[in-house]
Amino acid sequence: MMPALEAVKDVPDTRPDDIEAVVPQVLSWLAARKQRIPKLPLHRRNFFAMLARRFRWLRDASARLFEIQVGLVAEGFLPQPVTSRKVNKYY
Amino acid sequence: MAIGVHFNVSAYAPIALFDQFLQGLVLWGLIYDPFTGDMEQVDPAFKWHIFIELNCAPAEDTQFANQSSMDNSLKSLPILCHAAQRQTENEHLPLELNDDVAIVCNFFTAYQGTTRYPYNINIEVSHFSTFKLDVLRAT
Repeated sequence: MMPALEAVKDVPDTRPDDIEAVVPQVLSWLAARKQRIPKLPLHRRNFFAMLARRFRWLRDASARLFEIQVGLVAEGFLPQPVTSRKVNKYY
Repeated sequence: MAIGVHFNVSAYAPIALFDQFLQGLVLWGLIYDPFTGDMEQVDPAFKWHIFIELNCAPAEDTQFANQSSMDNSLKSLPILCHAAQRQTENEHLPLELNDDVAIVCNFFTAYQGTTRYPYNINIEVSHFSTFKLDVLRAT
C-alpha cells in the first residue's frame, strides 16, 4: 500500500496536546511558500476552515481509495503490498 | 452566549451614518434604519464582540487621499474613541483554537512524518522572525 494514503486516511480529529506549538509552525510553513495569511481573527478563522474542509475531503477520499485498493488486492487484481524497503528499494 | 460582529468600513463609506448606527447600537442597544423606519432592540442577554476595521483611501486617489487618514476617521466616529480599544495593524490578533485548526495541525504533523522533504520546514522566514502568536483557548 502507499504509505501516504495510509497516513492520510488515519489522520485523527482529536486536538493535539502541543497544538499551541504546532500552529506557529503551520503558519511559518505556509508563509515560506508565499501563502498570504489573513491577519484579522475572522478572516484567519475562515482561512483555517477552508483548509480543514479540504483536508477532511482528502481524508474521506483517501479512506475510500484505500478500501478500493484493499479490495483489488484481495481479488488478485493488484499484487500483494511490499512491506519492506529492502525488498524493493525503488518503492 | 456571545455574538461576534465584524465591520469592514470602506474609506468611501458614509462615516456620519455609520457613527449614528454605532451610537444607537453601543449606547442604546438599538438598530435603526432611518430609510424604512424599522427598529430592533438587541438582546442584552448576549455578550457582544464588535470588531471594526477602518480603512484609508489609497495613495493613488489624489483627490481624497490627503483627507482620508485614520485620525480623521476616528474623529468622525467619536463613540469609538470612548468605547473601543484600538488595535494597530502590526499586531497579530488572537486565534481561536477550534476543530478546524486541530485537523490542520494533525495533517501538518502527518505530513512531517511521512515525507522526506529536502528542506527544513521549521525554518523561520525573515519577516516572521518576530512573529508572536497569541492563542485563545476555545471555551
